[in-house]
Amino acid sequence: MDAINYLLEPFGYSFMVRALAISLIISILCPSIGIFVITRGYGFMGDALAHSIFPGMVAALILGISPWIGAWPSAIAFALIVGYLIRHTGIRADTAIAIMFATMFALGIILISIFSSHVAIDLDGLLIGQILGVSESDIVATIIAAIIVLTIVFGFYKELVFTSFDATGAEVAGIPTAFINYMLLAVIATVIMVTVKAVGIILVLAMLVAPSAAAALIAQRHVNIIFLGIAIALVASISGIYLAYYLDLPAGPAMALVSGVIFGGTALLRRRLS
Amino acid sequence: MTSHTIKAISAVSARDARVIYGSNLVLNDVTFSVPKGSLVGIVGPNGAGKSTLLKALVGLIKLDSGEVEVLGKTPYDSRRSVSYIPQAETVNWDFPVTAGEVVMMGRTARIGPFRFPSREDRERAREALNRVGLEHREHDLLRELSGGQRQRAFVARALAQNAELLLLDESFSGVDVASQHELVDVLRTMCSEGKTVLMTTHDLNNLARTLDRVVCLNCHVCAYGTPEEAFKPETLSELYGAHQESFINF
Repeated sequence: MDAINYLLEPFGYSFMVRALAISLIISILCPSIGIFVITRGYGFMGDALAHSIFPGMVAALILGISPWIGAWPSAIAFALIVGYLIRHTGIRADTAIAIMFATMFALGIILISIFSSHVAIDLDGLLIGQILGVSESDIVATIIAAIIVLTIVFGFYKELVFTSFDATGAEVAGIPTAFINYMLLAVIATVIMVTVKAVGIILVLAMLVAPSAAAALIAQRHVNIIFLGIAIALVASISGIYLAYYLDLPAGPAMALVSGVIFGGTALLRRRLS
Repeated sequence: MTSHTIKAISAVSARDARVIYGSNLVLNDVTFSVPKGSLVGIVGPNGAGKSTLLKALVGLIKLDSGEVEVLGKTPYDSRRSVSYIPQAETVNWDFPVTAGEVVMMGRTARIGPFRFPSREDRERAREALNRVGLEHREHDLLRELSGGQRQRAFVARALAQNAELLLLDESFSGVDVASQHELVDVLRTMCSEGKTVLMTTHDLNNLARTLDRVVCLNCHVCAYGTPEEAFKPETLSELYGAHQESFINF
């Protein structure tokens, strides 16, 4: 009974239940697109996208609206501009991403320095997340985002797989690869929005990349990597919540840390077995 | 024969096709016509514009002047009837797909988003795998197959797509001689059914005799015809200079 009480006790508080709900959703969403992020080499892109929402969030706070509302246009603009630069200017993808990453993060810092005397901005909350402070409306918005993302990924899964594996062959076969690529970037941006709420801008990659990367070390098929990634993300996020409650740790970094440890353990185990 | 008749029986025709990258003239006034049902090789040294020509035929690269027609249509409009097997290094081998999934990709455009493969799609894919002799490797990851088996899986993708024209970009690189001949046998069968195969290669010694026609390309068309007609000493000299003797011996 003690063990069960130990497990259930945190969820006697409604803010912990809300934290659990958000964790479950991001644990399903991140690995659903994580396979495309890790195999297409979009890890840096994900990190840059997360940082690119910073000026949008700061601008929203200055305007007195929810930072998450400001984050959406900021991230989607970033994804579309980077996609455009890569496709139409011929510069390398990492160069385009790095320029936009630094420019947008710098814009956020400049906005804070100009307006910090007028508006209270919780910089820690933005950077390392505030999962214990999510509201019911945050959960509703997250569920809506999750439904949209999962519908798109499920509906265009064949096209995403074809384009990820052989972009040229897909284009010649009649797949609208430019549309698929832009759509994937918009979906990644949306998932990052949701995940940033839990673990913050700096740690978003821990949930977006690490569970899928760990799953890819074990599973062979892309579908299996997605489902195993979801299982790993669930373990990481729920463990993170317990660690936050019982050891009084910040929840976002605790989730990110567990996620990283699972990846490290999987990599070591695989090396030993092989 | 009128130009209209030539177009009607041509799978591919190029007229004065020219492509310029920056200040480099990559293709210069390329003109040739490939009859339907033939197995044609585009040969030439590295940098001769072979891959550029294939990409121009499927609209991935725009011509600066001239025109190409594929299956009687523009490159863009003919796309669903064309299957393109890219160079191995442009494929994302990090993405884990099985041989069976690669073949089903040939049905993807036809199936469309938000829909699962039908029974007919699955049957076509299985039939295509059988035709290239890979039915026993359906569930194996493509990256774990040999070079020849990988290429056969791509050819099966074209069969599943029911493509009228198959373009192969250096597909024989890194494939052992026995597998090359197996692959050519599959391509030959496709041609006998009216499909057209156009492939780039710089491996003349093993493949040249198996081709119906050869486009000798080095920025422009140096020669075009049967291998016997095309591989004259002066043509080989233009293509490969002092190294011509290493290449072919009819």
